[in-house]
Amino acid sequence: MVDLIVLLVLLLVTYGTGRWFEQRHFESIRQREAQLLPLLTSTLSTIPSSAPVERSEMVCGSVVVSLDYFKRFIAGLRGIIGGRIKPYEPLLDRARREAMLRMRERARAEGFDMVVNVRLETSRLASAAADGKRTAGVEILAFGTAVKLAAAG
Amino acid sequence: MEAKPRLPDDRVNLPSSHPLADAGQLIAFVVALGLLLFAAVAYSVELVVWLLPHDTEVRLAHELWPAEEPTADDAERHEKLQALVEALASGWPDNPYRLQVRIAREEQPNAFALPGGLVLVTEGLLDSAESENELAFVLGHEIGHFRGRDHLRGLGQGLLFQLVLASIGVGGGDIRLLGDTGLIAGLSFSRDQERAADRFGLELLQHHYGHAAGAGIFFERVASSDPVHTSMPTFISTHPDPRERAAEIRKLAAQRGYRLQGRLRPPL
Repeated sequence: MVDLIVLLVLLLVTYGTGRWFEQRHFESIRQREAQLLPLLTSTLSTIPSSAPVERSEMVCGSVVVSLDYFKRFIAGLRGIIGGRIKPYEPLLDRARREAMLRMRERARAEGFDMVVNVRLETSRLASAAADGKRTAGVEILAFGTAVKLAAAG
Repeated sequence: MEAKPRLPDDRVNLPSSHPLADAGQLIAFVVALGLLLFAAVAYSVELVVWLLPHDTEVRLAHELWPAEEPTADDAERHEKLQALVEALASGWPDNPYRLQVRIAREEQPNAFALPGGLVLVTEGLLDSAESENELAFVLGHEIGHFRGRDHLRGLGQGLLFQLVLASIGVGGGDIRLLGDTGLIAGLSFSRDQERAADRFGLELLQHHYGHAAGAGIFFERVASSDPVHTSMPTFISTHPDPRERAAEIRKLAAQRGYRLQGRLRPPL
């Protein structure tokens, strides 16, 4: 009975904190995405312009995320009966967008005009538990080629 | 080529339902599944309990509780206790078991019926009994569990749940652990099973002594000395309330015409 109460409190508390961080993060993401709108970002490997290139450089942004207790608990139950692990979806969406934003913010800070050939990669981090069964977290890496075009004329 | 950047639709990767509603649904489903599993386990154990061949049970029990010689200081007591159990069991003609008594070094007065015909009696019970008759009733009650096959039910359910839990990755899943601690601690029978065992214990007592004096005395003592039992409401406790039990035993004895007064023999 005590175990059950502890579990319930843990679930509610971690749900609350997780939700709070998530909403705050989404606000920040949306705001920064709007600011970066003029910085062209593309998965094409060519520059959508005929202007000569002044300089180019690889830029990257990376994010490491982990689960809270609530998400892990829900995922554990999903592991028994199967189906969509819905609490994971916004978590990974945030991580991907944050990684993209960091990459693009870097490109803008360096004075580049655009980022082309953008790729996203995910890698699992080392296991957290002693038995090696649990994932500590995942890293999302966004990388691409930042390009500055030569001034016209 | 002209590029016109715009903000992405950010709802596409996000679930539309509320996370708590999803969690509630999921938990309700898993709990329902668990209950179904529980019912299935209980039902299949009920079948197996009556189908399990006797020699298989004995072999199984032998692996869980290897034979153990009584130590020198309780050898005499052990011998008397063994003789008492055998004498009581003679009131059960169809008994397939070769009942074996073992004394556990434990102060809490208690007794257990374990698979294979093993009767585990704690030192606390032997020390607290004020007469042989009182002890004999408790032993008769445990023999009643053998007759009802309750000991197998407890073992089977414990074992199956361990297996089920282990197979979905919850719990340690070490079956041998059950034999040492988990099983004995988890040996709780239903109230009906306890009552049936009480009835049989009463019959054995009457058969052996010719009267039923001492029946239920143990429960009365438990009721007056154990604060847990006295403060816990009847419906929470898995065991019937000891006072209620003692009263029921007296009533039953009266119905059958068993005498509750008689010469008590000294304790072992």
